[in-house]
Amino acid sequence: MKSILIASATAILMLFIQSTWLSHGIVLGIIPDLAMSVLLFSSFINKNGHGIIASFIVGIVADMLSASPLGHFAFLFSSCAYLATLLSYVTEKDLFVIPFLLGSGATIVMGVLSRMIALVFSANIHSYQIFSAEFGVELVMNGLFTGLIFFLLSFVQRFFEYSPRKALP
Amino acid sequence: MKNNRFHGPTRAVHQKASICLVLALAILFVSTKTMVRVPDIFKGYIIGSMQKGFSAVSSFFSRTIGAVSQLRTIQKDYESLLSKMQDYELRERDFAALAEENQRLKELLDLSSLPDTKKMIAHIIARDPSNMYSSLVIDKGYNDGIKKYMPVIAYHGGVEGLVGKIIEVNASTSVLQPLYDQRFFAAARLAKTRAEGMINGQGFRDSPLSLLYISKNERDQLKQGDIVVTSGLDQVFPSEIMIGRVEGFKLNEFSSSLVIDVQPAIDLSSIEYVFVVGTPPMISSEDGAGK
Repeated sequence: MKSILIASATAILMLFIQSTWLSHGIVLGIIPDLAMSVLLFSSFINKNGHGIIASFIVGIVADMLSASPLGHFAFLFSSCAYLATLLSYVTEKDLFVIPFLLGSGATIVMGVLSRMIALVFSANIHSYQIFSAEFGVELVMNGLFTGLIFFLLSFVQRFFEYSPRKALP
Repeated sequence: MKNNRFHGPTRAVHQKASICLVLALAILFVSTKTMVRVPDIFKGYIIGSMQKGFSAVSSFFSRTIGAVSQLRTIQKDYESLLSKMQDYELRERDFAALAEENQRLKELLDLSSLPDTKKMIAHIIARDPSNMYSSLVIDKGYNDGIKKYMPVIAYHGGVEGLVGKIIEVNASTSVLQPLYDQRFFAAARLAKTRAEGMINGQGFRDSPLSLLYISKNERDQLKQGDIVVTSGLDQVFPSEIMIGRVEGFKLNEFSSSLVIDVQPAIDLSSIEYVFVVGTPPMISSEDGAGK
């Protein structure tokens, strides 16, 4: 429970930073998805699925902050978190390559899923323009920032990790 | 004995993921049918207050740093302004007479671009946290008289131009859809030839807008720099608000209409303040809540 709350609070803080201090973007007006990077970190280190629950909560908050319909980012973040959790069973965290691939991969997953959701649901749902230069920039930017977030959060990893209560002897 | 078997994800992980995904899809399904609404107290006050707080912190730092550097230049400016003051006092008399004459002539010619409208100034306090959506958040809500679908304009470089429209109204904040949003549509026309079409955003702030449904026959008269304005036919935006200038056009062989690239009149990356335009029926209506 503690790990879910800490991951959610950190990611929500990142959402507010994205919508205010980083609102003008970094390159080509593109905002790095720091909240998603935090959620990927939480999902990757918590193999019990706590990162997925945190992603769902943060997704709902992201929907409230954004013009998106409720449930849109909850679905996208939860899907990425689920894939990150599954990936944690087959690979180990390293300094740069895995975080970069996770960040970029999650951006691609969100791009593809947003396209599919836009097809199924009503016209108010936006989707990524996958073949635009901006999407390419976002892909690289999210990869780099996920590497940075993984590096920074590794210092406080114990707060994000699920620690089961030890049974009394 | 040590267990060396490969451990895959447990059933609990799949269950948690399934519950979250199904729940998200269910919420999405309901919300896209507009059957659910986030409690106003949460969206209107808590989130709005947090966004205002973050905006205030960044404004405080940027203004403090700016103020210190401006202090030196202000001293110099003050001295030079004192000398200029005497000169301006003489000119003021002439100006007052000219302004009076100008106002009189304006009234005669009815030159106001937005007659009978009330404009409410609003500060942009936040933008959409994702790159997929491009909404902006302003610091005025239904407590200030803002209502859904009110047009929003801005002044930039001496030009009055369209910014977008209000799509969501909370207590103290509102969400505005800028004209570069991929779902933004507005009835528009070419100011010179009066040919009517529809303006649509491309989803990115730096990309030109697309003016659609302009007949191919217009291509001979079309020139770079031609002004595009709102036509008012959508009954959302008042007519004759400047949208931008023609940058170029594409001619698809099997299409009967042109796709015209339009550079917006207002640079949305640099504006901080906008004006929400209340047309007479919206302003005079009795109900306060805009949602």
